[in-house]
Amino acid sequence: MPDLDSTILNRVNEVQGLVVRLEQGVGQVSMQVATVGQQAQETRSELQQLTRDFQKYVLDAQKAVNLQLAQTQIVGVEAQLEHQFGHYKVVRNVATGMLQSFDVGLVSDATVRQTGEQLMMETPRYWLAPVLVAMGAWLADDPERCDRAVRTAYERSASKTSLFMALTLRRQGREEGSLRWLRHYLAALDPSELGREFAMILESVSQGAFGPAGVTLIQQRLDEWRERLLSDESRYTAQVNRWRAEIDQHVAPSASDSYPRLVQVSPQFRELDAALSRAGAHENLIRKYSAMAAEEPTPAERLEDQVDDILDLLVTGYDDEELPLRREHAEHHAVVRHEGDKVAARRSLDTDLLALDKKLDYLTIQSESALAPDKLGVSRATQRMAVSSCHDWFAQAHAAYSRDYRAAIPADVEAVFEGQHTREGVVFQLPRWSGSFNRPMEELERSLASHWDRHVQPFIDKLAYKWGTNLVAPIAVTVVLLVCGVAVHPAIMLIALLVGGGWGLYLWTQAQAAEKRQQDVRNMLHNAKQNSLQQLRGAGAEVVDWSNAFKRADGREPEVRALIADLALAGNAASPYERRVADNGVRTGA
Amino acid sequence: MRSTAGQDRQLFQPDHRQRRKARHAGILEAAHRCDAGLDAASRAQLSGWIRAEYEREFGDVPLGLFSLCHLGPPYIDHRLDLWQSILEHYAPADVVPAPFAQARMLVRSGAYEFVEVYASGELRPVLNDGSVVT
Repeated sequence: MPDLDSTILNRVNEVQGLVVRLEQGVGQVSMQVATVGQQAQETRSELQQLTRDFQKYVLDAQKAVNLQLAQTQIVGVEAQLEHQFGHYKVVRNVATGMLQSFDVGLVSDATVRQTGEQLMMETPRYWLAPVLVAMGAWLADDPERCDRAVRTAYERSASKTSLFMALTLRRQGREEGSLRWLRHYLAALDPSELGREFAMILESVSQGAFGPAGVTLIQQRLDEWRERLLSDESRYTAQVNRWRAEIDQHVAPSASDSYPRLVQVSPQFRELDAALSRAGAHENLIRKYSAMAAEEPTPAERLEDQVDDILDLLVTGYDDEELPLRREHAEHHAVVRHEGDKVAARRSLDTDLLALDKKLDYLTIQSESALAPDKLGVSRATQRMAVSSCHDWFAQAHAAYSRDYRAAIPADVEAVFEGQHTREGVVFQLPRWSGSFNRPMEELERSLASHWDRHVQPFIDKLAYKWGTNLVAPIAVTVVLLVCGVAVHPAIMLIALLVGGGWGLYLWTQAQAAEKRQQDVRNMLHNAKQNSLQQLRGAGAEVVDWSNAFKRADGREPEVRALIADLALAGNAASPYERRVADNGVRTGA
Repeated sequence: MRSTAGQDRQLFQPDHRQRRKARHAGILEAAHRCDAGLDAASRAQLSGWIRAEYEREFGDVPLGLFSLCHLGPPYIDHRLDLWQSILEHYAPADVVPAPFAQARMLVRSGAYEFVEVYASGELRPVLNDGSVVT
């Protein structure tokens, strides 16, 4: 019997040893699984970072290639422009020089005539060359030849020749002839399909180049056109949209760096940030346009200077033939300006290129003179007058812009907390909690804290050591042994007590380990809860900051409205030459 | 048939300039009358008058007007339904029915006297000088 007892005891010890090893094994495996999980997570984020870096590298490389290509092509296009149209430059220089030589009378009739004729041969198809011949003939008092030359120029470019003649005659003090050409010029125009050179007429009005009679004539015609074009709503909408695009370019950059906690916890942050950036446009618009409203253009002393400037613009401006190359040139420049980013370049050109388009309606010319004066080659004074004339569209676009971003502000800003908290193979998933910042902060904190407690407590309770189930086996074995001891041999009772004691000791150490783990997890989740509450408080403070910043930025909207109204008035007074007496400062005769 | 219908539509379509015309002081004043308690008869009379004014002056009648409420707490805003002569005041937690709900953030900005809400969902805020944003 003692043999049997010792065998049972040995077996029980063996089983016990196996159970202990198994427990250790399971513990190790769960640790390893946790480590593997963590490593997989790290690998995934590294891989994502690598993908991002690689994509950025590809994009940067593409941009570098685009940039290099655009730079090379700019040189090519410039060479082509010089090659194909470089000789136009000579004609343009001669035209200006010839007008000035009329003033001082230093060049002989023969030279003027000879130069004109030579350039006429060198630049076929160019409208300005026969104009030079006409000027030579005019100087030599040869009306028949002058007439033929003007006719040729008119055939090549009716509008430019009329305008040139109107300006030149005005410069020479021949008002009647100048007005006749001007009337001729205006009558031939279709306000829905004007050439780019029409901007020169706006320039002439702003500079008062045609004198009071000319200005009245032009103003009447422009008013008629405006009335006629604006009866078509689509044209009105097109101008308002053009101004809306201008306002959109003044949107302030994202301020997400100033609201780090709100970015983390609020799903509505994107809308809030967009509204703040859009409200920031008011400040930028004020900066840009108040400078313009405050400017007082200084009138040049002599009318000839103004007319010469406009003539310069007319003769040096791109000719229609040059446009395709000029457009290509502008495209490559845009790519360089955007550092190889073709998409951004295309986007900026979509609005800018309009200024290079061949045919525009009168309303668009006004808008473009205001928004892209360099492209149309008009002066600051004309730009200001154009802004004034566009004030209605500007005001409408601005009002609609403000309405749109205000309407897009989310009515309810929420904080959302959910997520995974891991420690030594223990994974706690906080179920989603959301609360509106419209509620008081104390209430939100209470709600979030009780949400944490509600879900954390059962989770921690589950980690507690289960004495009940673990005690069943040892108690059963001990009782069986005790019964055997009573029935068979009292020594077995001693063995039963030993087995029971040993097993009990083992279970107790296990329970201690479980309790320690439970305490660790409790601490970890307590910290996570405090962290959440801190984030909530921080985000709440940032909502207040955002609200103040938004009110400040949005509060500047009435200033922009007032500024646009100022510009509308300022534009009328901004052309000091507009109603200038014809003889004032005009030299007499050629 | 189609072309005739198109012409008809064009004939009856209100002129866009007429729609953009500034709202006169009478309408602004009428909109403010909602701040006082109105009985059913006065509401019907007010809505009828505003409707007639819109029809005559601007050729386009909105579904209703939405504006800030000056009755005091708990109300912050209200809507006047011009067709059903309903005047409803809302507290912050109340749900405003569509399409009026979208006007709520606009009036909250404090920049507008009231917002015209159209059946299409279009919102046209009116500024204190009567000018309208289209």
